[in-house]
Amino acid sequence: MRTYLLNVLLLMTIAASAQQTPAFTPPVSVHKYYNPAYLHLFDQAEIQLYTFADFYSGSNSLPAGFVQTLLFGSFIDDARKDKASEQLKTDNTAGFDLNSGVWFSTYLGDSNTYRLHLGVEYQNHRGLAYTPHLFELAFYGNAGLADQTADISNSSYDGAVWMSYRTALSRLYPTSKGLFSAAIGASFLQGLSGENLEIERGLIYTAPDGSYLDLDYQFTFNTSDTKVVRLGNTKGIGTAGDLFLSWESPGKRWFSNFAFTDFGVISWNKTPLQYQGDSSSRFEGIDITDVLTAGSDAAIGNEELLMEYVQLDSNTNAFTTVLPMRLEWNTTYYIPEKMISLSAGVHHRLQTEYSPLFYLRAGKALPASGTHLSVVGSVGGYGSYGLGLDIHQRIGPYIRLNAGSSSLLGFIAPDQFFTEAVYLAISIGFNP
Amino acid sequence: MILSCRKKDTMWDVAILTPLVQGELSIVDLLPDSITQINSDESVTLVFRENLLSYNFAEENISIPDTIVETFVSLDSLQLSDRTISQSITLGEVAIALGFPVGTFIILSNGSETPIDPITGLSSGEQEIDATSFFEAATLEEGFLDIEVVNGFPIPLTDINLQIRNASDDAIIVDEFVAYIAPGETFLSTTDLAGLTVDGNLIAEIADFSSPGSSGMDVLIDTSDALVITMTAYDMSLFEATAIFPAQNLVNNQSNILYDMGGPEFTEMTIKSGEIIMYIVNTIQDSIHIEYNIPGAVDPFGNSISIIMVVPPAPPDGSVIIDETFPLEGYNVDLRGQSGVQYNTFYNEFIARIDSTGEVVTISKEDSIQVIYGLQNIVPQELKGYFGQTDISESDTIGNLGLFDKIAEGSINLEDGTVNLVIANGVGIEGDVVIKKLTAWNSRTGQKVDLSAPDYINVPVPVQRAYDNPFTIGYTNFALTPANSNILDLIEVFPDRLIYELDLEVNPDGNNYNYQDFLNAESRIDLFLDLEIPLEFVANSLTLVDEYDSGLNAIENKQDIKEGTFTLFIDNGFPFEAGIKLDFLNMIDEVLASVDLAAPPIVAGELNADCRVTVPAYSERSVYISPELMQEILDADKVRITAIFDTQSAAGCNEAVKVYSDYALHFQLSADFEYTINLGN
Repeated sequence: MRTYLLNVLLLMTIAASAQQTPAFTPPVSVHKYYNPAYLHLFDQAEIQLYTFADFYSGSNSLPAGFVQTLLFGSFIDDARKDKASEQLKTDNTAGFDLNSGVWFSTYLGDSNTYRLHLGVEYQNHRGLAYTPHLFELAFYGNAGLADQTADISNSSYDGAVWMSYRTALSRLYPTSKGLFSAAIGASFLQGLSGENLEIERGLIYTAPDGSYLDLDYQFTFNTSDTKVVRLGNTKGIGTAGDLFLSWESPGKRWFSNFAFTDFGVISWNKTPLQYQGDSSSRFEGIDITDVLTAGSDAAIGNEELLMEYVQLDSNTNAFTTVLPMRLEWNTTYYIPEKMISLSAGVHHRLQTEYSPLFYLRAGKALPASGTHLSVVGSVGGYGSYGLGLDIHQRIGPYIRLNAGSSSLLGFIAPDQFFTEAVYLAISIGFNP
Repeated sequence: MILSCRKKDTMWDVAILTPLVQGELSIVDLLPDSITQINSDESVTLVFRENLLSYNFAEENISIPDTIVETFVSLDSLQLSDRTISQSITLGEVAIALGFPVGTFIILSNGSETPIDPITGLSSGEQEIDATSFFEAATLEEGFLDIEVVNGFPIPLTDINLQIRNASDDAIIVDEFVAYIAPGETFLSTTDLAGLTVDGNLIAEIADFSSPGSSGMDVLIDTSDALVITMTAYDMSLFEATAIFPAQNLVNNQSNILYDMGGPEFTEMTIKSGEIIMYIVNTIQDSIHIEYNIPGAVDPFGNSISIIMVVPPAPPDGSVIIDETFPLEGYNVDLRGQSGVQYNTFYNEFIARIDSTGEVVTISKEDSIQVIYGLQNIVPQELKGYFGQTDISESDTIGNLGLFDKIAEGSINLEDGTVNLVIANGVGIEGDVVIKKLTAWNSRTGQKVDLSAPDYINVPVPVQRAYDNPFTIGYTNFALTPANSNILDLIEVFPDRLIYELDLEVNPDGNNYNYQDFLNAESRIDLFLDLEIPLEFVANSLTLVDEYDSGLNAIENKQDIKEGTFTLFIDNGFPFEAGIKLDFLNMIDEVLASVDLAAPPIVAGELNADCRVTVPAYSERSVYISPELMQEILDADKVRITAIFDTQSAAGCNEAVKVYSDYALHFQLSADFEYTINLGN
């Protein structure tokens, strides 16, 4: 994936070096995803290829630097843990999305009324809700909680990786009130990995001398399985639907977009595993009386030990993941005299720890270079607030490049800010 | 350059405080159920049995020889039966041969009385003789042919020249001259056929004979009067013959087979394994019928051994080989012979014969039948009779006793203990046993202690015999107690080996039981050592050592486990002080790391007024494991646990403490250690 992103960046860099026809194309969301209605409205090439990648992570308490270390690898030292710990709240959330895709679209028939869109997308979502004690247990261990009860109740984790094989049909509606574009889409989903943990009650008391642990818990953990994630290993299937609406005012001053995507579910039914626990127990160590008296043959595996001492129930029931649906509305006002655009929007991902993200964008078109630059400020999402940039470069009539970020703060000051995002997109048109 | 960068592992350190393992060990856990006996007062007695000797009397002393018989039968033993044929030459046939006028006159005179004139130059003409009832052809080694000529003519015959020759080659078999045969008289001659080849189709001819006539006297002319030639072949033995051979036995052995057992006199045997072999080579072009019977050998259903088989005819110039075995497992053999009063003897019958099939076959003197038959590899399962007088000496060193193999050093003083040496005799024989020596040997320390027991050592003791119907083992017991021996001294050296020597004299008084000695499939003579030690003792630095697979080197990412402090919590319900040392070893038993918890020792449970521990004593021992030591421990393949015990008595109690079944040691190990969580890259 990282190679893919870098290649996209390289292509964009090469293409951006050419100075082409200036035109205004209003920026859309703070996240990059494929919007057939938008594309139908603004891209007139008979055949359109579109590729994009979007990365976004945020938390209401974990500094971006901490998340970067978790995601991209390094040793998390005590100083970094301490800084993160200082930011902890009563209820903490974190999320991570990585999406990318390739699309092909073409007109249907001789008119420009209908357009068919075909695409393949990779989607990776992680969401986490946790208590301060859960953070402390995970990153410091339980020794610091000796003679205390760690409360990890109401913590949760959900993660899913899947491929979407998408199709969509869009149509233009020229009216006296402007030009409308609408699109509907349907997807077949190939589930590659799915996990879900819900800890309704979780209390862990550590005896001062470590002689026992008192556990009081009620939780459910579902996993598609523990094998590696790869394209050839399908662990679940599902379907999803999409709806898109775009509008351009008659004077081309107002623009508006609405998107509701990934309305669907994945059923993990190939090799699912479910662990459930609802009990309280005291763990005083693994009983090795049999080992001493019967020799090493009595040794059993870790999984069996866990089942025995934590009193877990397990089964292979299939489970279902409701996709993190995307809901967005934005509108833009363009002042052609000054070549300035002003946008406002709200973006939300349902069924996740994501809070509705409100954003404002101000842009300036530079006709000589075919460039449109924007700054964007936002609040919400997985983190708190963000401040980012967007650059939109048109190269000739049929090539558009777009790169940006809804929040660069996490990159600039990773130990102070909580969100970071980056996206890249290339659109190339053909008229054979 | 960016693409060449390799993502680092995501890692961080955590401090874990957790119990690791725990358990409770009672004496029942520490010792196998098979060697512990809980008494009514909950005290524990160690009960241990070691089989010092398991003597298979049958395998060691009895070997059943093979009884193989070989017979070779050739054609010189074949006989052709005696046969007789007759040939007549009528007067009418002679008259026809004479022709006109004499022959015509004789024919015309038929039925009248008239004188017959002298006749010369008569001939019978060639008369075909069908002797194929003898054989098609035969070359005789021996044999005789009797020729009887009866003159049925009314006139005497003179100068008779009788020839019999083969039709095929005109070889003359008989050439006889008879000077005179009166009417009604008989001429008899015998021809030796030795060396002659005779056809089944012969030609008889009286080539020339005369008659003086009736000398003028009237004689009754009857043309049916005949000259009758009768040939009888007999006492024929053959070089080669093509013939229909009569049914006859080639082999007919009916005999008692006697086993030479060198002393024992068995009357009955049930066979555990073994077989009858039957190896036959037949070159005769006729079927050989085999029948083998052992009437005194019966299977569990009462059927006696009777083997009937047919060896197919051999091809011309070839042979047929039959090689078969017949299992005898489970057969009971009467070894009293045909008379029923013998021993080590069985009666059998073997018959090989040819059966008259009515078909012509060719057999030469070169043809033969070779027969090898008999019983082999016989292993008895049960035997009865008189087993004879035998002296058996047995000595051995029994290793790996197992009972004390975990005790490395130290000493104990036992309060009591009993050893029973038990001879379990599963053989129906009498005997006297002499225990010459019994030595306890601790091979690790080199200590050896000989048993001193004046009542038993070097004293002949009668051994109880087993009895049949129902089978009952005879037991002879030597009870060794502190009162009659130094048996505790033997135990207190913690022997891992025992050395013994004993003699057994079988049937010292001869055939006392009148052939009623026996053994069966379960019959052994076992020597058991039964040990009973009440667990009441004084232990001084009693050191137990044991090894286990550590399993630690199977842990993944061992390097992520850092330093830590490990704490052992003990509730000791035994009246023993204990020190524990752990040695972590590699595969070649090199010590990689050691953790010594021996000092101060784990506190012993305190005896109350009843001299019992009712409240366990608590001890807590901590040890810090450095990162370096931790990695050495985690690299270990095995862990050797050394536990050193000292009994702790109390005022008012014996110095020797008694172990009760409810004594237990509860232990728990907790760890406070650093661990690196590594999510990989």
